[in-house]
Amino acid sequence: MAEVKMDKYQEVVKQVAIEEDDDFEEFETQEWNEAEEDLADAERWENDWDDDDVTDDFAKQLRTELEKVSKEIAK
Amino acid sequence: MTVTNENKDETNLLVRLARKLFVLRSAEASGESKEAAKKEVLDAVFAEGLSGHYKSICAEFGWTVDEGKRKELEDKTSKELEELEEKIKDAIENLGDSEVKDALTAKAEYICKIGAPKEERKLAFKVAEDKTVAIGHKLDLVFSQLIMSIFDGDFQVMKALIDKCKQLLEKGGDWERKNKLKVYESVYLMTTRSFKEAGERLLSSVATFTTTELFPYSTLVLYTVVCSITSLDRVTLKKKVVDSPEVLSVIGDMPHLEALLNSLYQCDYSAFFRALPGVADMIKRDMFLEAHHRYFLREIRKVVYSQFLESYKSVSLAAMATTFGVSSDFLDGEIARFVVSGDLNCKIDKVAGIVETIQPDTKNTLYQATIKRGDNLLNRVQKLGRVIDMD
Repeated sequence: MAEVKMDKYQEVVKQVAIEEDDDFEEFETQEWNEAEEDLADAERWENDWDDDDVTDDFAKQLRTELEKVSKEIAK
Repeated sequence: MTVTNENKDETNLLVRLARKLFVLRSAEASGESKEAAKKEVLDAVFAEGLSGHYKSICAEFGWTVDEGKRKELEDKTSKELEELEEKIKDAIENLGDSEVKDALTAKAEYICKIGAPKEERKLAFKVAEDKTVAIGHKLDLVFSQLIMSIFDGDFQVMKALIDKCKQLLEKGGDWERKNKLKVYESVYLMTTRSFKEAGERLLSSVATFTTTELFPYSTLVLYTVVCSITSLDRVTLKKKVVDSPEVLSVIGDMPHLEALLNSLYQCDYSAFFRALPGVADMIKRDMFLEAHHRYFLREIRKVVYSQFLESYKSVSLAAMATTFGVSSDFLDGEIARFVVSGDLNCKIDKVAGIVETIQPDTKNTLYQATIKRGDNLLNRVQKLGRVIDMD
């Protein structure tokens, strides 16, 4: 897992290194209209990979577990 | 639900509508609750003459449009608008600026209520704003637009409006509006998962709450407890929430919430787990909190397991499981999950069936934190790279 991250990182480093020669002015005057901005991403909070695990319904699991346990006790 | 002071639901029409639409859009809501929501939406639409909303809502959910009703609504709207325009003209020609402002404001709020297209609404408010002088009235216009943005689910607009409010308040504004803004801001913070910051503002609003157009007092307490329970330390939680007279006055109406809060403080872990699914349900059913219910469940588990383990150097898995009222296997999976994510400083000795707490290894924690932050940074740079032409 760490290796994949290292590759990603190296890619970015390479890209940035290439940019070093570029005129920094370019960055500042670049304008993009609102449509291109992060609107589509709408990531209003820090993305946590745990959120994508739709199967993780703790509340349901807990309910099931509590029922199981109470049945055990009732036995 | 026991009778509380506010028998009448003072929630703003648009906010009420938004909550019903939330139910209709929810993947989890039952067929029954959706049927009930549909009826309430249509009742409101016809009772209040919401011609714009009727069109867009039917389109969204694929409901058949009753042509007769639609025409009726549109006629009513046209007539109303005509009268409002007359008043505006009259004010401009015969009366003073203040009357002009009132008439323009009335129009803006009307078309907002009936669900006119976004651009129309924005324009109407801008026109009204130009004619508004007093800071207090300017603020009221922003609050109306905030409600609009909540209905639209447009959080970027919401943020911009909140910032605007803050600027206006710096120039002058009364305490009531300052407090009102705190509540609106806490809604924004909640929806963007800043529970700690939201909790702080909610807590400070508990004693002075008048923003019933957004939600009733009991809902304020729900939000306050949910945000505070995952972000405050135990001592502060007790002092500011558990013992708060305001919280105590309504929390009895929400027994699961009450049980969760008290059992956490009293370290009654099996009661805690019994109360948790009920609270999770409340969160899933709420328009602002639903998107964060998994986050809440993760955070609250971190809090409760850490609190339990604080008293132990080592504890048997079986004993811990019994305390929580669950099986060892279930708890094993739970603890393992939080150990792996680096949120619990302990390790499981499966052979001996023991959970041992370990001194936080700062180097390791630092390493894990750096990886996580580095990953976040990489994601953001990649996103930036998509937008900026990096050649």
